[in-house]
Amino acid sequence: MISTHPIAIDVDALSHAFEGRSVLNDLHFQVPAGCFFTVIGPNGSGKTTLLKLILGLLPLQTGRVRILDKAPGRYAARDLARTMAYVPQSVPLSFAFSVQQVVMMGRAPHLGWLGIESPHDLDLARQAMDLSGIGHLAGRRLDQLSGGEQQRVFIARAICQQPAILLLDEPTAALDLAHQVRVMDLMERLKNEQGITVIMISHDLNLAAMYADQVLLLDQGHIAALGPPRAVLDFNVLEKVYGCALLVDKSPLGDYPRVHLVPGRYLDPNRD
Amino acid sequence: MTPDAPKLTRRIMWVVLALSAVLLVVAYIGLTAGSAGGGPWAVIKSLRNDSDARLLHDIIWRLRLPRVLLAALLGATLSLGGMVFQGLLRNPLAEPYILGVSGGAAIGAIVGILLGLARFPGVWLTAFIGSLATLGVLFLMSAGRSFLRTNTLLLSGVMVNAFCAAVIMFLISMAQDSRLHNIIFWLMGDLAAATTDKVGILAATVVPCYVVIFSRSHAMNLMTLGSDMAHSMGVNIKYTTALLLVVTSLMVSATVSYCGLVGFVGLVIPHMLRLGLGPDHRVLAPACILGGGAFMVLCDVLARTLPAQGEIPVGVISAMIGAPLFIYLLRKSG
Repeated sequence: MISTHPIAIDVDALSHAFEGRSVLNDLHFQVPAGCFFTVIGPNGSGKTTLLKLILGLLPLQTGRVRILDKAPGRYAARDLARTMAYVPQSVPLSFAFSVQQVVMMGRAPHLGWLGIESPHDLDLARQAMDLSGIGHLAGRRLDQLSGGEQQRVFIARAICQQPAILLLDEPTAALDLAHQVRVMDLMERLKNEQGITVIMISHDLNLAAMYADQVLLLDQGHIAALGPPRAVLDFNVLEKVYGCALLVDKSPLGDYPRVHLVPGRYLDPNRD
Repeated sequence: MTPDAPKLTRRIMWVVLALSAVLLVVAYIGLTAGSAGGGPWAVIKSLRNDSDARLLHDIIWRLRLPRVLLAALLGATLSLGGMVFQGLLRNPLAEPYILGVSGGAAIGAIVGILLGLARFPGVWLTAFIGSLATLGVLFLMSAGRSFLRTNTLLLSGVMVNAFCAAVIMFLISMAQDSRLHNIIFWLMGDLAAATTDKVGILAATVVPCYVVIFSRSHAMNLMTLGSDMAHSMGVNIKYTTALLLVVTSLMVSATVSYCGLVGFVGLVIPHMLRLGLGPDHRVLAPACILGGGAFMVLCDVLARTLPAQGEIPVGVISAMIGAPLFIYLLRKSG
């Protein structure tokens, strides 16, 4: 369900607090449709909370979120699920569903109550599994796979949902290098070929630099910087937000910055 | 390459056919077994039109048939209830009995009996109120943390169950002698008082509950991946959870008010079927109904035929088979 609306996500004056402690503070930004949008920031800067507010997993306290020019509350649950798919950081594995069964669950918002699938849905599931490189695992039990394989199963499930907007919370954290680059390439391909808006939380600044059209840098619930990687991944800004010494140079691979850690140098006044 | 998964509808049909056959065979045994005898051909003999057949006819169709049907409904309801609780709490140890929901229903039912209410709608209603009250207590105890955070809820449930057991003991100790035997025998799981009327009322209560649960079986599949993921796939978590819990409490408390406390069926049957058929609730729900029904009919046959005189309460049989079987299955699957 690809909409023609030019703004995928519109966040306006969004604040959120848990038990009186402010987590997000007056955020304003827009995610253009068809954008590869990466959210970065230190631990506890509010990245996951932001994602959950967009997804409607947390109730809005103050401010406004619009998905394709409509508030999440104005969508029926199934319509919202046809618009946005989500790959969380971790998923509980309690029962031994097979890989194909889990990927097929992504079809739920497109099917009836019992989710009885047609051959067309099976085709979509197979395509999604091939795209994520797990076609050979289709019959395996999910709980017998490695963490990285499971992560790719959940990415395939989200693709199978055919959303206009795909939200991922650190999808590459559990993956080895080859699969990191594959997942990032896959997201770029979905963006380019299907016009899907990709919103990804990442701790890997270099992956963000290579793939993202826009980077949002969060610092203690505030927007520290927003813009293309070249503008946001500036060492003055990053050192201040992350609290450690960094070296930023130009990547030899292309026109984007490359971030290096410097051992043993913290700028946090509470340390040393 | 992996073979194509069998088409879901065909799969459900085969499971339903196979388990229906098992249930029919067991039900037939249930109709022929008993102290009044008759042998394996008794059912056919009873249909003959002579004076010998008349007594046999009454025994089989007016005494044994309601009893077999009541056992089947009891087993089906408890198994399906166990499946729902396990699916929602994502824990194979969850069950209405272990969580104290059955215990709450039993307290309600005993209060109803002590007040001298009729089995329907009086005791039926007090049992339902009792089970809803324990559900409410469970949620209050786990509130503030995540909705249905499973381990906390399970432990709270064990405590609620222990508390319910104490209250039941208290109520029994306060009961007058004339009602004591009734209550104790009912509590242990008593199917002897089955009549066509009772079975009809119970069926009218629980069968619509089966339909509601089956209609939510795919939502339960999605919810096993966690509530965030299920929500992002279009499941209304709060509504679905509340609906399933209330419907399950309704059908479980209805069986408690008729048949007393029968444990372990809700653990063993869903667990065994999940090992054999996989975790898809769309297949498991009908399988639990038919398989749980068959298991309980079999337990009732044993309860009637094992002792030389009289009978053992069916709850005793089901727990004696169920508890060791469950431990065996748990070791095998873990």
